[in-house]
Amino acid sequence: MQDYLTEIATIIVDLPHCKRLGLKITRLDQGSGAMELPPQADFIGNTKRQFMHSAIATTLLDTLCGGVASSVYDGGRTVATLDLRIDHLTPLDGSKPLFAEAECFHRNEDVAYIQGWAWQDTPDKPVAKATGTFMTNGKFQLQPKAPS
Amino acid sequence: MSQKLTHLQDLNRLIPYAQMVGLEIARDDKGLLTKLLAHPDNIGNEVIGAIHGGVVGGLLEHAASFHLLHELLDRDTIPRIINVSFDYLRPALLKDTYARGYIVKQGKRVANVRVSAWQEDENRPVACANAHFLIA
Repeated sequence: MQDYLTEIATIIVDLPHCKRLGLKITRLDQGSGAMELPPQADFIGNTKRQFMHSAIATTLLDTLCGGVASSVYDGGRTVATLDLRIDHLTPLDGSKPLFAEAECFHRNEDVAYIQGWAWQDTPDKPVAKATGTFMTNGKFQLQPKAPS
Repeated sequence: MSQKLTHLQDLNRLIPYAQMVGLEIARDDKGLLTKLLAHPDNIGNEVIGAIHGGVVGGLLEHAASFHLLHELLDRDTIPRIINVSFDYLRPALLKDTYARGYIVKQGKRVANVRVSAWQEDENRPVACANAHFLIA
């Protein structure tokens, strides 16, 4: 990974909420990436059927699409989510990890358009699909670490 | 009415995700409210100290389903979400955040719900969403 890509990946996994969830970035290239989220009992949204809350897929895809949008520009940029559309295709099995992949399908100086998918069993059986639009905010900046 | 609110609050308390991020069900003079408590673990941007977009999304999805549960009588199963489209309007800073739902259309099988989330002023939303739910 190039330096700025490693930096983006580190910043993302160190964000308090990403740490709380235990999000892992398994790959980040310029304009595409992949993540993994191991299951936790706290992710359950439907206790009767032991499904994860849909917000878990939303959070995973929002994080990954945002990270990929940051990675698109040489040297990286900070981005702000303009909108995000999620198709929740199947319920999320609360006992299995969630995987996601995302890629940029168009960019200009102001906006990066990203699509992503999440799955549990195999990549050809998606559980959720995302399309997001991200406004770019100039150069990437190192975010200060929270005091430990 | 208050019995119904208590029932929804009890249901919400049993949802692990709601407890993890700090989602509560309340009521004001305009109707049902879903509240996301300011919780440092929900931060997703340390520069401005903003709540993670995914958690704001979670608040909107949760508020939409609880609004539906509140409006559709005699139902105890959480409606299944088909899709949702979020618009992020302003940074959601680390403060209590509120969301209110509105049913645009309720058909036999599908409900279309609009939700808006704000922090100090309901007229200055931080995010809004439109979602479809399967209700049959």
